[in-house]
Amino acid sequence: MTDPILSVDNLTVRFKSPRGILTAVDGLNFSINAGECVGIVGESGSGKSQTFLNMLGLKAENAEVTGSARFLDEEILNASPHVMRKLRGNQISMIFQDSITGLTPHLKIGRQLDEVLIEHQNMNRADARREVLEMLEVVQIPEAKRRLEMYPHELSGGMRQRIMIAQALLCKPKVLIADEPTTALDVTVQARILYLMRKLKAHTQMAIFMITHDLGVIAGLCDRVIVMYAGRAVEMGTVDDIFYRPQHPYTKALLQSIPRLDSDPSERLLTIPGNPPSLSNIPVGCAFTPRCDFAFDRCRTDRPLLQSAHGTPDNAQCVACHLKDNAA
Amino acid sequence: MIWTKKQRDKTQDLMQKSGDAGRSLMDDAIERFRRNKAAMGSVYVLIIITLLSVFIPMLWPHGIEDMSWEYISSPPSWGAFHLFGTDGNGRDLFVRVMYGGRVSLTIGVMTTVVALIIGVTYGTVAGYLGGRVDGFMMRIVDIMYAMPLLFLIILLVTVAGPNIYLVFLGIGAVEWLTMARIVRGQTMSVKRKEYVESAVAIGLTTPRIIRRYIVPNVIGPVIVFVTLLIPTNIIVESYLSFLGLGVQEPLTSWGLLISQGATQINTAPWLLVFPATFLAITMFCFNFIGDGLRDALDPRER
Amino acid sequence: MIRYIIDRLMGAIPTFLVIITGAFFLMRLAPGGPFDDLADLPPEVLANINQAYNLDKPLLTQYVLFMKNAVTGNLGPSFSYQDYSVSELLAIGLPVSIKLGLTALTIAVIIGAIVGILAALRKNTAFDYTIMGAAMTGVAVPNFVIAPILMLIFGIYLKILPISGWNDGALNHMVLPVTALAIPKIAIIARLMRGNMLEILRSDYIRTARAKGMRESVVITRHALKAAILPLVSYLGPAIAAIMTGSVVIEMIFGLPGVGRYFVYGAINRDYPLVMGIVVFYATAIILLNLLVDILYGVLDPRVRQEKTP
Repeated sequence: MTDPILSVDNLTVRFKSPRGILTAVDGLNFSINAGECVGIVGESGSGKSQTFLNMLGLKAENAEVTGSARFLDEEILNASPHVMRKLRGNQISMIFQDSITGLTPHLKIGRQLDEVLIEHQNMNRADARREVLEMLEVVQIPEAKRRLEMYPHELSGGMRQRIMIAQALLCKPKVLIADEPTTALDVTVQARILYLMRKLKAHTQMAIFMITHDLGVIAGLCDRVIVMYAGRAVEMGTVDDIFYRPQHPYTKALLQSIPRLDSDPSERLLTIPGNPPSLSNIPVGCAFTPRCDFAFDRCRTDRPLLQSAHGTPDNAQCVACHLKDNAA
Repeated sequence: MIWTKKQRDKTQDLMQKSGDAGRSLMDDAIERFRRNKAAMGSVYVLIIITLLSVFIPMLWPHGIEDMSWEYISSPPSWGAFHLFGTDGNGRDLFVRVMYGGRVSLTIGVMTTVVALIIGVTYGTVAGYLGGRVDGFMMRIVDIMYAMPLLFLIILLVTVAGPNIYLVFLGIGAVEWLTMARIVRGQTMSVKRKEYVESAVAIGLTTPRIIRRYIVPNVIGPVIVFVTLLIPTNIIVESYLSFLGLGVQEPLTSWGLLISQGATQINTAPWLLVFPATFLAITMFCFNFIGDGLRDALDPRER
Repeated sequence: MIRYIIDRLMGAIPTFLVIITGAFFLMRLAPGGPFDDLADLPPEVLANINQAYNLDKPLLTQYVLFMKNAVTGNLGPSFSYQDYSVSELLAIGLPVSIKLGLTALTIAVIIGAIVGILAALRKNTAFDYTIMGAAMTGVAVPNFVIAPILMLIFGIYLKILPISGWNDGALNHMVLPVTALAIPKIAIIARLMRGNMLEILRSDYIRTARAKGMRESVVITRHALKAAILPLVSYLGPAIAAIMTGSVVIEMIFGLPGVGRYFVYGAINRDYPLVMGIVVFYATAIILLNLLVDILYGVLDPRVRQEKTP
C-alpha cells in the first residue's frame, strides 16, 4: 500500500481558559490515503472540527497544539504561518458548515473565487475567471457567469454551499476537509450536495475527511470511520465494521439513535442518557463511563487505549474499550 | 450621548435577554460582576463620593458661601482647612466641590427618575397595546432620536428661563427614548407569556395587568440601563451649567464650578482641576460599572 | 437603490415637520412674551413690537406664517442682535462652525478608526491597553474639561498656541479647539472600531478567508475592513449631532465667532427667534446629513442596496 497522504500522530489540542485547561482533542492518531474518504463522527463538542482547524494552523490564540501531523512526509503541525498559508486552500482545503455566514458578505462571489487562484497559482484575473467558471460547472451551478456578479445573500443556501465547495476545489487540493457541509441545508439540497461529493470522490484522487454527526452521510460516502467522544477516538474501522460490527458501547448507542425505515414506528427511538463530559473535567478512565450501561470498575480508573478489535493486525477496526479485553 | 448606536442596540438586546434569564443565570451574572475588580472598586468609590457630598457640607468648618478676605484665590493649604484652595470670593473650594457633587449627583439621579417614569410608561403602553398604536408611538421615538437633544433642552431653558427644576424635567424629558425602546421590547416578550394570558382570561383590566404583571417583569433590565443613564445626565447637567443655562449661583454644581474654574485657569488652576477630577472620577466609575454589568450579563464578550 | 433613497426621504419629511411644529408651539406656549422684561415700555411701543413680530395675529396664522418662512429660509429677526435677522447671524457664524466641526469630525473618524483597528489587531498587548485606557479617559472626561486643560498646557505654560480667537481660521488658532472637540469622538470611535473589528475577526467568513490561504493583510483589508467600517458609517449620524453639541461649548471656551456662541447668547438673553432658528436649522441639517449617511450606508452595503422592499 502507498504511503498515506496525511498522517496525524498523537494530536492534542488544549485551551487555556479562566476555568482551567480544556482538552478539546486528546492524543488522536489517524491517517488517510489518496482517494480515500474518512468520516469523523461524534456529538458537537467532541473535538471533530477542532482537530482539523488546529492542524491547519487556524487556531485560537489560547490554543496549544502538540503532536505531529505529516502531509506528504512534511511536518505541518505548528509550521510557520507562511508555510501553512501556502498549504491552505491550495493543497489542503476546508469547507465549513455555515455557508450563510461563511462567505464575505460585501464581496462579489466572483471576487472571492478568483482571489484563491490569483493567490496560489499566480494567475491573472482573466485566467482565474476562466478556471472559476469551469469549476462552477463541476459543482453544477447554473448561469454561472451571472452568479459571479452576485453577493452571497442573493444565493440560496444550497448554492452558497456549492460555491464553498468550488472555492475549496479550485486549486485541486490533495486533501479536502468537509466540516458538516450539509448540516445547514434542507434534505433535498443535502442529497444533491452529497451526490456531488460522491462524484468528486470518484473522479479525483482527493482524500476527503467528512466531519459530521449524521451517520447517514457517512454510510453514503465514506470508506472508513473514526468515532470521537470527548476529544478522543473511541472506535475506528471501515464503514461496514462500524455499521454492522460496532464494538464500542458509544458507537452502538449512536447507531441505535438513528431512526430506521424498517423499525417499528411505535418503538421509541433510543437516546443516549446524560451529556458529554465538560472538557475541563474529563473522567479519569474512559470518558464515556458515566453514560455507559456496561461500565465496570476498571473503566473509572484506566483509560482504555485504541487497539485492534479482533486481535489481528491486518484488520483495520480498532476500539478503545475495556470490554474488549474482558471478552478475550 | 456617551453611547454609540451599536452599543445601545446591543445593550438593549442584552437587557431583553437578561430579563428572561432564570434565577441561576442572574446569580451567575452577579457573581461575575463581583469578580470584576474595576466595577466593584467603582461601586465603593461612588459610595464614598456620595457620602462625602452628603456629609461634608454639614460638617466642614467652612460653609459654601462663607467668604474669607484673607484667602482670596489662595492655593490649596492645610493651614486654614482650605484643602482645595479658595475661589475669587474667598470661598472654600473643598466644601463647594462636595456641595456641587450633591447637586450634580441629585440631578443625575432625579433626571434619570423622570426619564424612567416617562420611558417605562411609554414603553409598556406601546408594547402592551401593540399594533398601530405601537407603530405610531415608536415612530415618534424614532423622530426624536434624530434630534440634537441638548439643543431641545436649551430651547426649553430659553423659553422658560434657567431654573433648576426645569433642568430636571428637560433632561428627563428628552433622555427617556432608549428606555422606552428597551421596555417596549421587553413588554412584547412578556406579553406572550402564559401568566399574562391567564390574567387577560380572568378579566383583569388593562392598566391593572400592566401594573401587576408587566412592570415588575421589565424592571430588571431597566435597572441596568439606569446605571448608564445617570452619568449621561450628569454630563448633560454639567454642560448646561457650564454654559450658564443650568444651575445658577448661589447654588453650585460640578459643571458650574468647572465653568468658573475655566475662566481663571491661568491664575488659579486648582479651581478647574478639583471639580473636573471629581466629575471625571464619577464618570469613570459609572463607565466601569456599566461595562461590568454588560460583561456580567454577556460572558461571551471576553 | 432609488427606491431606498426615496424611502429615506419620505421618512425625513415628517421628522422635519414635527420639529418645526414642536418648536413653534413650544415657543408660543411659553409663559409670558419675550418682551415682558421690558415692562417699562409704553404699551403702544410694546404693541408695535408685537405687531412687528406677528405676535398680535391668531395662533394659527402665526403658525402658517412661521412654517412658510421656515421653509423659505426666513427665520425672522433676532431680538437681541437688533439689526440682524436670524438668517444673517447664521450666515456669519456657519462658516466658522462648519470649518471647526468638519475638521474635528474628519480627524476623529480617521484617527479613531485607525487606532481602534490597530488596537483590535494587537488585542491584549500593551498598545491595546494604552489605547483603550486613553479612550476610556476620553469618554469619561467631557470636552469642556479637556479644552481648558489644553489651553493651560499649550497656551499658558508652553505658550506655543493661541488660546482664543479665530483669526479667520488660521491653522494655529484651529489646533486647540479642533483637538478639544475631536478627542471625545476619537475615544468613542476607537472603542467602537475595536469592538467591531474583534467581532468580525471572529466571524465565519474570516475563518473561510484564512482557510483559503489568503495573506493576513488581504484577510484584513479585503475581507474584514469594510464590514468593520459599516457600523462607523451608521455612527456618523450621532457623531455629527454630538459634534454640533460639543461645538457650542468649544466656541464659548475659545471665543470663536460661530453659530454656537450666538446660540448660547441667544439662550441667555432669551432671544426666542434666534434660538429657535438655530435649533430648526441644526435639526434640518441633522436630518439631511442622516439622510446622506443612510445613502452612503446603502452604497457600501450590498444587502441594503439591493433590498427590494423597505
